[in-house]
Amino acid sequence: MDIKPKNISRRTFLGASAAVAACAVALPAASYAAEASLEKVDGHVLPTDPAKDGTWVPAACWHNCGGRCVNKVMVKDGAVVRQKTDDSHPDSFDYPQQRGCVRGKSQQQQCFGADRIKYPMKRKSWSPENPNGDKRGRDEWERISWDDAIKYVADQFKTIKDKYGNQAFLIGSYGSRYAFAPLNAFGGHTSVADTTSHGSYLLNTEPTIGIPKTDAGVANDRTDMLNADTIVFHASNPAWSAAGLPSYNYIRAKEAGVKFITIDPIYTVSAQVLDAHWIPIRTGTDTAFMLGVASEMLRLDKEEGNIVDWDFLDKYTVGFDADHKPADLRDDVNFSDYLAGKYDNEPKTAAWASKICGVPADEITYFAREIGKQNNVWMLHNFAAARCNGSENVPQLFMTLGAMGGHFGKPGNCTANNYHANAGNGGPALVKAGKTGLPTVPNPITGVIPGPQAWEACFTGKYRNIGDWYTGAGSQAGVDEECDIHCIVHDENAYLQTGPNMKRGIEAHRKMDFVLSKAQFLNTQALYSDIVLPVTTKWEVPGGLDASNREFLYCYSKVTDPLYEAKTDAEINSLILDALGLDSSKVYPFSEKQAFFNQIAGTTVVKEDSATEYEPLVAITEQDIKDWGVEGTPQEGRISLKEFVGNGGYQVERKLGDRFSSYLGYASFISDPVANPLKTPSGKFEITSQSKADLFNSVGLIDHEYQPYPEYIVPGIGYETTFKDGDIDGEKGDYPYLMFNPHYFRRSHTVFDNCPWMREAWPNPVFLNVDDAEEKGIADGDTVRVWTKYGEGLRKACLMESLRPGEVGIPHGSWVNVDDKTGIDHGGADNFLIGNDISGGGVTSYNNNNCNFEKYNGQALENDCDMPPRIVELA
Amino acid sequence: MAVGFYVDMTRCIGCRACQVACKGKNRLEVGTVYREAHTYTVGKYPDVDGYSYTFGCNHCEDAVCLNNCPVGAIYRAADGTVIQDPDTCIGCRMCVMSCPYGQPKYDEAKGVSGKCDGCYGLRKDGSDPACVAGCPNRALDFGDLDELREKHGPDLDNGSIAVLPSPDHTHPSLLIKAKEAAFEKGPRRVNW
Repeated sequence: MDIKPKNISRRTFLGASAAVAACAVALPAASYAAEASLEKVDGHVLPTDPAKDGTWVPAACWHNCGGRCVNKVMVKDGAVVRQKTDDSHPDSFDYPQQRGCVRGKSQQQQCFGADRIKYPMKRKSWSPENPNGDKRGRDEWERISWDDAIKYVADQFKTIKDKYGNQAFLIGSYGSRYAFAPLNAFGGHTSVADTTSHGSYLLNTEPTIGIPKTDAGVANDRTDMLNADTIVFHASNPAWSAAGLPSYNYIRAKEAGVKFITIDPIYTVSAQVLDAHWIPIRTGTDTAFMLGVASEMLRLDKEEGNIVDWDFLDKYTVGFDADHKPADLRDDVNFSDYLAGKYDNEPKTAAWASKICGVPADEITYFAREIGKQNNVWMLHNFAAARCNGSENVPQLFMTLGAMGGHFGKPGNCTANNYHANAGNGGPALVKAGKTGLPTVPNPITGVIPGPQAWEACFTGKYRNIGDWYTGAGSQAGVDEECDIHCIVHDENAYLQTGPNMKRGIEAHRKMDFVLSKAQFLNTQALYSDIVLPVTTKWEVPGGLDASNREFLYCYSKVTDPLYEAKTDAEINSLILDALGLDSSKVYPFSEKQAFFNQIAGTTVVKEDSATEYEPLVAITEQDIKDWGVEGTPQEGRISLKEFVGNGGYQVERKLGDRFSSYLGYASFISDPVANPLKTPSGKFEITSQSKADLFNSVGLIDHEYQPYPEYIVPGIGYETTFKDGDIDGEKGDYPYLMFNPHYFRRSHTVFDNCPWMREAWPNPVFLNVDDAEEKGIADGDTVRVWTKYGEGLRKACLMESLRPGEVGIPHGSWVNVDDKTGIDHGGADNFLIGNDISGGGVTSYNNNNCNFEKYNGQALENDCDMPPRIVELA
Repeated sequence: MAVGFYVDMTRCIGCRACQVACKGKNRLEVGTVYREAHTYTVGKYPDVDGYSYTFGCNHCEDAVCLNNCPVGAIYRAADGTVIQDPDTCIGCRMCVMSCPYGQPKYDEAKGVSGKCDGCYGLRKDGSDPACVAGCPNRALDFGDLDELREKHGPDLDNGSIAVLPSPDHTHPSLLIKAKEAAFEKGPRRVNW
């Protein structure tokens, strides 16, 4: 590979963006103007705004961060000269501006970065006849024309299909089955299903235990959090992982006197700003913790009373005790008896739990009392605890604790996820985007490889299909299947970087006949490809709509023409389709602008006097249709097209106590559980669930008999395996630390990792407990080597008192940068250290891996922001 | 008249949105920051508390940068904003060395120093400074100190928190809604 910095210093962004023809205006160095008529003090000309008189354009901020906040850029003489966030209306807690986060503010460096891939390019030693696969990631690049690039791609697709059939194509990522239209239209491709963000909350929770998939949409309206006494964050740090509005809502609750509790290995910034009580837990031991809490709730209820909401358990759940046996249960078991130790002679007491989860028993008691029925509690979780080996029962247990306290479906009480833009803000969207009208191209190939098996399957040809969570029907009984992969395509995914077992993944890429990437930068996927096609950012497309929190719909517009030779996804896909002899007009029957217009025309907003009925939002005239050059029908609406596009979307004005404030999760079920049953066999929450046990047991990945109740599962990799013989009281093993991957503010997963301002603001160290580090002679800023049985990497040390001892935090998503001589990753990639461990239910083991670390004796790492950007020198 | 920043530590999450908003507005390359936010903890695991704070120019009443500039490149506008004029600056770095807050920054490539001017130009046009307008948690404000006191309450600190040098040297035009932990000695910076 050839990533030569040459004379390009870190001051490349401004220079390079000015060099782009379409945006060729560099700003003056500072805000000064020299006109003599300006205000003066002591002979100095006072600063004025040099970016004045440009045009503000609502600009996309489209990443998988979960927020969809307002980003506006000022375009002046064709260049972006300023960025700002929402200031479109006066700001209040009730009707807040949709202000964006630190990442959105560096979006300019995404679009105009000096490291943008400018032209289609080919790996120098790759040819259809001889792929020289071993040189992937090590080769030089040469510029090729779009015609040549498309011909290479189409020829390779045809050859591989002829030789091996469509199953030989592999596309990673969670939504991969419908992502890449050209291959779907060409007969399909093998897909990957990974439990990615949501972990065990993907395992068909709705028809088994009763909570919706990913526990989404069942929080109460955001204003209801003011009715809570306590808000619980379990494995949740919304300040980093739900940036944008959510933290501001929680700050409002704190200022109104609501108390917060955080259960986390880190005393997070969310916890700090909300003055939360910290329960420091070992990663991956949440099942044990929650079992201890349930036992304590029962004990406290017996001894003190008023803790367990027996009426709620009786009316809305089955399987808590012997008197509430679900009809389909085969063995006569229940949760209470499991807690009491009836089945394994091991009562799940606070002391038992404490030994595993590391939380002192009195803290378990404290938490049990706090979530008792006498308190109004918002029980919120994110998914970090569910991304662990052995976390299959986390969803059932969290629901059980909520049910034991009666924290469902009433003011001040809910039990739900705390995720993305909807964190702490449940209820149906009040303004809804219309559809583009573009057809979905089905993928005829049904093979889906579980994430941790994907790269190994490229060698063995074997995998166990256990279902497709995001674009299929969910978990299924496992079926052994075969594949013979010869081509990997990275379309709109970053699966080599974001999926597990990356080191093996790189080897798998080197084995392929052909690897194709669409990319904006030489990211991990592009680095190990043969052909890289430069694709536009969303600042270079006509526009689109993005759903945000329930009260806001974002509308972004084009900021600039495509940079260099970049093309949009639709353009690239159309070229490939046509070159394959397929009719691109069947996949893209109309223009991107028409698709944008269709979305706007179909947008609806809740009626002024209703909480459930909707009406068209945007008024469209004959003239609008003419001006846009699209087909459509004029319509009445609340605001004009110009206003909607100019404002950057529409926000429904809220007030405390308005008609949307009363939204409660599960309201209809709670009001009448017989008329409005859940989708479980019993129609109720199933604290003991035969269908859950049957499903998990049908997956067939490990030799463990899952129980209908949420039993403790000793993880295949986790806290126990940090000991030599898996015995918690025993000697520590070779990998004595628990390694987890906190979502990190520099990036949204992998995106923004290359932006210089973000690299400077967020240095991306390894998180270490102070005592753990000092024991090894490591000080803040020292270079540390972290290794697992799968890989090793370097990072600078961040010593923390606010991290539980025994834990090592590797921030998620950093781009891998392997030193070819040593095999050590200098980039700090989490997934380079993670292997192919998979839990019995099919959950990828992201957050309770085992590692070791030491002070690195080799050359110290530079700061990431001082390392040269990946600017490709084209041969 | 004095103008300066108000920092609400009870709302700051140390997200550095202010830092990047400032860099965007002032077009600053890597290596130069006029504003930066950091997170700190006090205490020992597991009895830990924490806070974040955002650092910038405090437009001090006794602005040593202004007093020590040998060529008069730093001046005070009528509203109290302390402003640096790069056209006059000779790059001697007296301001950089004398400021206890480490604020004026020397730009090696340009050979001159630079600093926060409270987005004077933006304010003249009726906008807030970029960092204030860009804060997701509304933890920052800028303006006349008396007006800020009226708006944000009387119990504000004038810069005596543990992570700042004593305000007695330069009398910063700074109002902080401080977290209690911010006064504890020996805070540990969390370098994440």
